[in-house]
Amino acid sequence: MVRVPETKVALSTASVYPESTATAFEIAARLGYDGVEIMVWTDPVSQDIEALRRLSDYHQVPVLAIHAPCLLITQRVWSTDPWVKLQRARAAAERLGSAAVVVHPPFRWQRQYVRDFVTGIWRMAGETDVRFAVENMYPWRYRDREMLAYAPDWDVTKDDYRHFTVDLSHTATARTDAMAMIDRMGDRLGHVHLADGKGSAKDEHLVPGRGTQPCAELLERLAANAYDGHVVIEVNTRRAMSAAEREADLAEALAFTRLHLVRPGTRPAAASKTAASKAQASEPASEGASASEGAAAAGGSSAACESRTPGASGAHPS
Amino acid sequence: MRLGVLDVGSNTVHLLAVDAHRGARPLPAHSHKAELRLAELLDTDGAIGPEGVDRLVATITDALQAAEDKGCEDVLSFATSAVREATNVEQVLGRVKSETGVDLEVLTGEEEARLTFLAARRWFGWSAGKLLVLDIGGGSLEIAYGLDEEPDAAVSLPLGAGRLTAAWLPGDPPDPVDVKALRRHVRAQIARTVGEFARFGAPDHVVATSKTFRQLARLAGAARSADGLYVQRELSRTSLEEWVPKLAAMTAAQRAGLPGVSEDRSPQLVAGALVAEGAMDLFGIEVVEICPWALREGIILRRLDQLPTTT
Repeated sequence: MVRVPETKVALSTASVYPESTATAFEIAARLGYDGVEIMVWTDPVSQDIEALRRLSDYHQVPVLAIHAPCLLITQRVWSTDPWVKLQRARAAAERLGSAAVVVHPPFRWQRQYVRDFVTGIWRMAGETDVRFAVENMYPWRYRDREMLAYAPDWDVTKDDYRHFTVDLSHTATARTDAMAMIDRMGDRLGHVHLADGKGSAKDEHLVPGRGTQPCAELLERLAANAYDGHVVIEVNTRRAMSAAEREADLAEALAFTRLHLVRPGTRPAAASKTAASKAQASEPASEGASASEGAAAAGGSSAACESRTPGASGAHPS
Repeated sequence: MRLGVLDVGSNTVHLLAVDAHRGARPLPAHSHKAELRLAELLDTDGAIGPEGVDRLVATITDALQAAEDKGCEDVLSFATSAVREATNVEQVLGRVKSETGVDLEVLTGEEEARLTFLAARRWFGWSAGKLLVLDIGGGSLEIAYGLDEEPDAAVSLPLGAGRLTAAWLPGDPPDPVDVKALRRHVRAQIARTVGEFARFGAPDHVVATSKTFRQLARLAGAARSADGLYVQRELSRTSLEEWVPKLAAMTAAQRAGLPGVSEDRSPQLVAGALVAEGAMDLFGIEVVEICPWALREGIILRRLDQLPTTT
């Protein structure tokens, strides 16, 4: 009767920055995540498939997805050729048994890559079982100006791709309706980056529940629609003042996700207890957070999850 | 051929034009610089605000014009701590790219430490033996140790003088309570990494690069910069320890009146001195030798090494 969600919840290695990729495996294992997504960037370990395989074996944490190095800060990681980056990401995914490669749309000034992007992604997707899940981005805003950094478009649903990644921090920054975007993606939604945002010009990547995005609603939708991808927690903890604070945030994000990753109306006490006990078991660092998650689970109420405010991590030293 | 090197540092944006051939000394034929102090322009979220990026874009545009004027055929562009650690690094790089065409290469902290080490090694030579190299930038402190040209250990800590001043020392003169808190923070951060270096044994020479160290050495009596590159300069821990409380009690304007201290950098000198003192104390260093070369020269040297030999 009770449907145990099969969707796996992974921790993005970017979520522990400035801590290392290796630390992300360790934290994912300790908190009870089902796996990790590797953000391939300047940390040399993130670029080394053998090192990742050893970390995965050692911690018994599978690598569920690879985020290709398509940030500006990773221009020289793996290759300067964007297609070579994707081929290497695919090879990493195949070697590590990952389901998906996350790809950003090209930057507007990568003209040839922009021209070939849609057909090239289809061609690469046709050669492997790994999903190339193209992620929604956002227009860059500063003062009263807007800069369209991505092409063909930051709204990837305007183009034809086999799989999409939806990112709920990016929908907040784009000030676009996340649920409408998910509707447009339909059954091509192949991968989820769960985070939250309040609609500022900065791509915030808050712990889900701390912003304005429909995180709980999205998770319920995934559960109801027999979504067959993974959910990846991609949050920003760089302002955490201590390792304990970072872990508390990541435990809260996991508890929130498990709590809501069930079909609406089918969240009986048993399922909630699972979420609550996971929250408590995995959260030695923060009494307050685990108590509030427990309360949320027992009540089955999504409103109670908005308990912690980001103000607690204010960074000015005293 | 003439090569331009554009260095977007945490304090300064610097363009050097170098006549590049294999085996050349990494000295500029021309130098153009602007003080931006990006590390002090970070907002409360750690992002570089729109005004800061505007200034960066304008400065890079000027530098590119200078590179063209001086006949540079190619410009190597790189950025360090302030850009690297900005929470909006993607937007900063994207605006620079779209408005100037420059692909800024963001060095990791470890690369920064390694390239600075290479410059120090080439400056002092193989006869200097095992080197420990310290560099206090605007955004980060780099520490590297080694016997070769590649260091055996290299770390970067977010303890740059500009970054710390902006985050910890708002007052002028700084509040003694803030100075004490910063001192504790700096020492805790450095103490965590001392262990990584302890296993290598004592260095034969301790080398300090960066404007912060040069200014502190000048205060403690080293030769003026006008006396040239090739004068030996050093800074002892005892003289540094005498200067730290004096610097902390002065206003930025008073510090700017000291020998060798520029008006631009005088606000950062207290934080820089606390980092220098903390590093010397925790690493057990009695005296550092000042090296006029650092990261920029390291980058040029590495690039020159890759040029084909001309016969």
